[in-house]
Amino acid sequence: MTQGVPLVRLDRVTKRFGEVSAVHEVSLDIEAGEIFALLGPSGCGKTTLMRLIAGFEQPDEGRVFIGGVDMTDVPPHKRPVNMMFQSYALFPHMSVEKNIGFGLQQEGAPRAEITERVAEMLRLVQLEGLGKRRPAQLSGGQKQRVALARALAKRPKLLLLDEPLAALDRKLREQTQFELKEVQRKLGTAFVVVTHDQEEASVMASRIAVMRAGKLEQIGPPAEIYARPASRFVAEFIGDINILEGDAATAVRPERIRLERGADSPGNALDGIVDDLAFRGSDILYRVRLATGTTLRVVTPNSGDRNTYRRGDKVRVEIPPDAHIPLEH
Amino acid sequence: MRPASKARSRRNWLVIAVPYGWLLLFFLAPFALVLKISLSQSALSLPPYAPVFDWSDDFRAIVEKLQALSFESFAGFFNDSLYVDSYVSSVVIAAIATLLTLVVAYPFALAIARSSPKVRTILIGLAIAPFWTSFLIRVYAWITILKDEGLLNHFLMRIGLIDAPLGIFATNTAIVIGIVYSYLPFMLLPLYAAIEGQDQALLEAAADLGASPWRAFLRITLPLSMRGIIAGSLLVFIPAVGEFVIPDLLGGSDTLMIGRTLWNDFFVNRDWPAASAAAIVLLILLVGPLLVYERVQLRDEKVRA
Repeated sequence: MTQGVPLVRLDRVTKRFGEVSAVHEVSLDIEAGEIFALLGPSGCGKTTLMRLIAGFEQPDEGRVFIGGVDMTDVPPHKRPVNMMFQSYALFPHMSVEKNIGFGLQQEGAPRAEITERVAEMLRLVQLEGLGKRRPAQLSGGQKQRVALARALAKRPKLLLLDEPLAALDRKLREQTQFELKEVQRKLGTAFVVVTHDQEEASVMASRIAVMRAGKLEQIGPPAEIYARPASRFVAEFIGDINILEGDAATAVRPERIRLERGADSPGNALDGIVDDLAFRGSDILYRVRLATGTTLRVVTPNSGDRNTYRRGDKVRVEIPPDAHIPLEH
Repeated sequence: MRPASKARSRRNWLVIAVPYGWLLLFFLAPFALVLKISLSQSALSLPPYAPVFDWSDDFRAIVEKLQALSFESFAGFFNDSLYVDSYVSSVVIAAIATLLTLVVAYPFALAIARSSPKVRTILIGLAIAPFWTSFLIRVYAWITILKDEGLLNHFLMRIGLIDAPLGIFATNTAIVIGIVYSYLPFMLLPLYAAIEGQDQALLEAAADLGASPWRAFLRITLPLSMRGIIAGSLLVFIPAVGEFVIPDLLGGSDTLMIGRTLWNDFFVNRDWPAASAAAIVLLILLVGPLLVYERVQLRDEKVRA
């Protein structure tokens, strides 16, 4: 691969299903070794975009480059990328070992090499000793690991992960997020993760592309998207937000707002009453009704029983000037 | 066991009892009759075999008759090359026909399973449409297609592909064609069911891992449809071995198939005991493949559980 060429380049790619554009003129670059998240609500086109990279869909317009080579018309079985399916799509009639070795076998790799690589992959996903089992004999988390091992066995430069954690329960999900990152760091493979879960995208990805109705809304590192959302949609989709309507609408993150006790002078726009609160462990969420009628969500860290307010408490709301995020639309 | 599940288990039992009762009445009872006849001897009487059992007999007569029973008929046909040849020929013809039916039906089943749900319903309807016409008439129709002055030869000679009639009619080839045609739906439907249930993501996963469409078919679709292949093959093979109408109408005078030989023994030679014994041997031979199928299914279920 030539230096300076992005691992994947989508050049004004459009995909229509009938009348509907599932993906509309999307251009983006994915660099080698990064974790790139495609984030958006269901139906936004993120899965279609990933399938365009894998080759399961053909774009109606635009080109798909992988490693600098135009792969738009190359069928999926000849593309140097691998995918981990949302349903895992493990072959039910093959053992775990056979599943993991399938890709190498298709390449015509010698048997000894396949055996060795399968063992290595089983170690990587911590499933040593389960190689002889059938997929039906595995737990959900184990299936997920087999799917990962199978997709990584050919050592692709790019791995596509379709909602990789959707089928796991909450506890397992967080653990698996970090395990996936660990595997990614070890192998240096670029990951493209499709997800509808903004938290998952933020935890895993070095860059996030937020999609809406087939178009890219914003691309950037999670912290940047969080701090400077390009649109109201992005602001509302990523994290918790307060929208302050006015001549120019602005958005404020709940944790940037500070609360102070007291304030007996009614009429000040930034005085309010605690409407409700939710104790969330590490922090507390307050719903504060301002004198203007607007309700703000305010998050304060839980620092013991000092500084906690109760329902009906009068509070003064302070928003630092730099906490306002201007919204264009 | 809770009352609800008790009631359910009684219902389940009833559901099972009805078909088994049916089988008992219409399969086991006639089978007992055939078995009875097979143990008797041919006789010039009506019916043409020595009586085996009579309610009006006293004890001594019953014992006498039971002592007269023998496996002579069974021993007889193992020495009779006509029967052995008929069995071998039947099995060979049925096996060839089953294999051909599988090869013809698989692409059909694949196409139906991969088409849109709307088209699928129409295609399945078309596949079973021939059942609306009498089986006998459909096989008769093949005579007009296959005979020397029939449609097929006429057409092929017209377009200049052949100069003289192929002479398929009244040969084993005609019988194989007849079996493939008649039993195609019995192969098609189990195959369709086995392919239709497969997760399409498996094929995408195979392609993603570098398998060409043909390799993906061989490694994924084909092995995962093995249940359908076995079920369909048995549904064709078992009745085809004992087939009588097709060899009688499409076969030649030298055609040896067990169904025909049995018919001859019953109605021409009037040797009922020998024919009954042959029918029972046929049944025992065909239980073998059924047991194999049963075992494969059991193993399958174990893997799935």
